[in-house]
This record gives sequence, C-alpha cells and structure tokens, in this order.
Amino acid sequence: MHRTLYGHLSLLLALVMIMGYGPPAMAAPLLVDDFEGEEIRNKLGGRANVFQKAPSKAMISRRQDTIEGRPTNVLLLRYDKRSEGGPYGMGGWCGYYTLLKKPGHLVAPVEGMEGAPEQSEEQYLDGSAYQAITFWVRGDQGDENFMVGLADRHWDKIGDSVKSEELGKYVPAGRLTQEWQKAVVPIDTFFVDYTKLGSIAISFESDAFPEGAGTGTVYLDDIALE
Amino acid sequence: MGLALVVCHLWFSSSLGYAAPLVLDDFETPANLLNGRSNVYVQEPSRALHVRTKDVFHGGTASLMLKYDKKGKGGPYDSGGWCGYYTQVKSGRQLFDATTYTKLTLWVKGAAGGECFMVGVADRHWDEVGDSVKSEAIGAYLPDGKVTTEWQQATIPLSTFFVDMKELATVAICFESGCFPAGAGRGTVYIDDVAFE
Repeated sequence: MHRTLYGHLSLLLALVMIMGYGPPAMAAPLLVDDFEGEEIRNKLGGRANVFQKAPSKAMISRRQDTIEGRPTNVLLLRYDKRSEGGPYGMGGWCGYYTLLKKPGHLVAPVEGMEGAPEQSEEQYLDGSAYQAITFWVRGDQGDENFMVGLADRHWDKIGDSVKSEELGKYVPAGRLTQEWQKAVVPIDTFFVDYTKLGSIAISFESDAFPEGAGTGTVYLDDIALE
Repeated sequence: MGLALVVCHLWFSSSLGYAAPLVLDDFETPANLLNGRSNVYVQEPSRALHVRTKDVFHGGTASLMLKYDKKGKGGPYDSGGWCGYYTQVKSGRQLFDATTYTKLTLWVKGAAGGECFMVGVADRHWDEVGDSVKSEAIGAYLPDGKVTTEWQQATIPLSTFFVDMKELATVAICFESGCFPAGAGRGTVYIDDVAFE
C-alpha cells in the first residue's frame, strides 16, 4: 500500500519536474573573460577598460602566468589610489570594468516614417541563474586590496556600481597573497536587479586602504559567473 | 640604414644596462626613425594638418609643422570632436620597450606663442582602444611655462603616463579641450627632435 503511494508520489514529482515547476536548474558557468587572444573585448563581446578620476589612476596590460600548472594569459591591473585632491578632495577614484551588457543596435525606420535610424535599448545580462562571481587573483607583493563592484541597469546609468566587502573575505587565505587563489563572491552580496546586469568592476575604494590611499599591482584571470 | 642604426643603438644601450637617448623623429625623413607611421587624427568638426617643413627647424634642416583647429561644439557628445598627430613607436605587431628610458623630450615653438597641447602615450591596450594617456598641458614641462615663439625643450617624465612601458605603441600630440578656454583653440606649432632619454 505504502509502496504504491510512494510510487505515485515519485511519479507525480517527476512529472512536476519535467513540466518545469521544480527548483530552478543550475546554470552552466558563464566565462566573462579569460584574457586570451588579442581582443580587448571580453568573451561576451563587451568592452573592458580602466576607469579613473585624477589624481587616482589605473592601468591594465596582459602577462603570461601559470595557474595550477596551466600556462595562461592574465590581466595585469596596476593602481594608484590617492586620498587627497580631485573631487571633494577625496583623491578621485580608479578601477577596472568589464561589460556584461550588449550595446543597442540601429533600428531601421519603418517605411513611411521620417527621421534617422533609432538606437535600440542596450541588452542587459540576465544573471538570475548564477550564484557567484568568481575569478582567479594574486597580488604582486601580497596584501593588495580591492572591492568587487556589480552594476545593474540602474547603477549602470548612474555610472557606478554596488560594492562587495574587501576581497579578503572571498579568498581562502583571507587576504591577497603572491599565490593564485580563486575568489568566490556570492551574487547576493550585491543588492541589485540580477535580471539586468550591466558590468562587473574591480574597484580600488578608499576603504580598502589605510589612510584611504594605496598603490600596487594585482593579476586576475577567468572572470566568470557560476 | 636608419633601422640598422637604431638596432645597434638598442643593442649597445642594453649591453651597458642604461639607455642612451633615442631620437624618435627629427623630421628629416618621411618616416620616423623607428620606421613607424605618422599622421594626423581628426574627428569633425575639429581638424589638423601636418607638414614636414624646411622653413623652420631646431636641429638639422626640417621640423614638423602642426596646424590645429580644435572646436568646442558639434561632433560626438557635442564636444567639438578631436584632433592631433601621432607617430608609431611600434613596428608591425612588435611593441616598443621603453623601460630603460625615464623621459620623453621634444623641442617646440609656436607661430604666435601661447599655443597649447598635451602629449599622449599609448601602450598596447590604449592603442587597441584608439586613445592614449595624456600628460598635463605642455607648459608644465617647458622652462618658460608656456609655448613661445622661441624654441624650448619640453622634458616630460615617462612616469607621467600610467601605461605599460614594456609595450609602447604610439606617441601623440593632442589638442585636447582641456588646453583651451571654452574647449576651443586654433594655431600652429613646430615640433622637432622627439626623443626618449
């Protein structure tokens, strides 16, 4: 009797899962940038660059390195975050961003309508199926620091992002070292609209440094959503 | 011949562990001394013109004459477009390693005095983006604090440019809006003997 009941329940559960009413399926990892090749665009076709406001500044380049025995090209990100001068005397800001959104495209005017082609809305990334932002990271000296930023459509329009805590919280050693570590930043760290993601940022915030100023070099690879 | 001299210079410099000055362009020949391409860059409504002139020069028999007309309105973002001049220090895909140099020097004079520009340097990244990292206005690097009708040597520390010095692609003369009142200006400058030191 019970065996028959369990059998029916199992069948019902299987049917529900098949019909799509079950728990959400896990999304396969989405590689945003592995820094291979000559392209300055990331794997999603999005632009990537530094952002900076004087007197703070940042620069990027690429270097060859080895992660877990695997030769790979990585991002070199050098920063000089100042604490004085610039807007409000706060030393300006600096960091790096990589776009998750896709640019709008030109929409040809419908026959009979006047005017030039219009630009369609940018396409933001639906990241609601992912649990974390992950990447490999190491410092040139160790003890470098930064926050991770995530921007949805709202923050993208403002030109800013919601910041994580200091990176040490998300790496096994509790701080950046000269060894490669995989950072795992839970996506619920960021109180944003996960269905409309615009960009991921590496942000050298004043809170990351004693006295609000710091310089250094960090290396990153394989930025992904998992 | 010129390229052979540059190669010998680089070998000799590296063998000594320091770099003797390397003249990038003396404007005596059509191409620069690293065999890189040179040209103006313009985005309307701004415009620029370059001529290798023998009428005015600091060293040798010729210099670069740059006429510029930087507008303050119109064009992309209604910021007047942009204009300037670039010279490549890369050779094909081979980028230029400037880590043994500490400064970029050039000689400059204006047709009227008071002209202004910034110097731009692009590494691999900024070259691919199609832009460069800018210095301050050129007056900050001149003995008189501004361009005059006399030749002056500008000395710009390479540390001014937060770029990858192992992978330089171009050097540029940039007539940026930040150089001019209301973002617009026009004039003529003469440039000679651009060098890494």
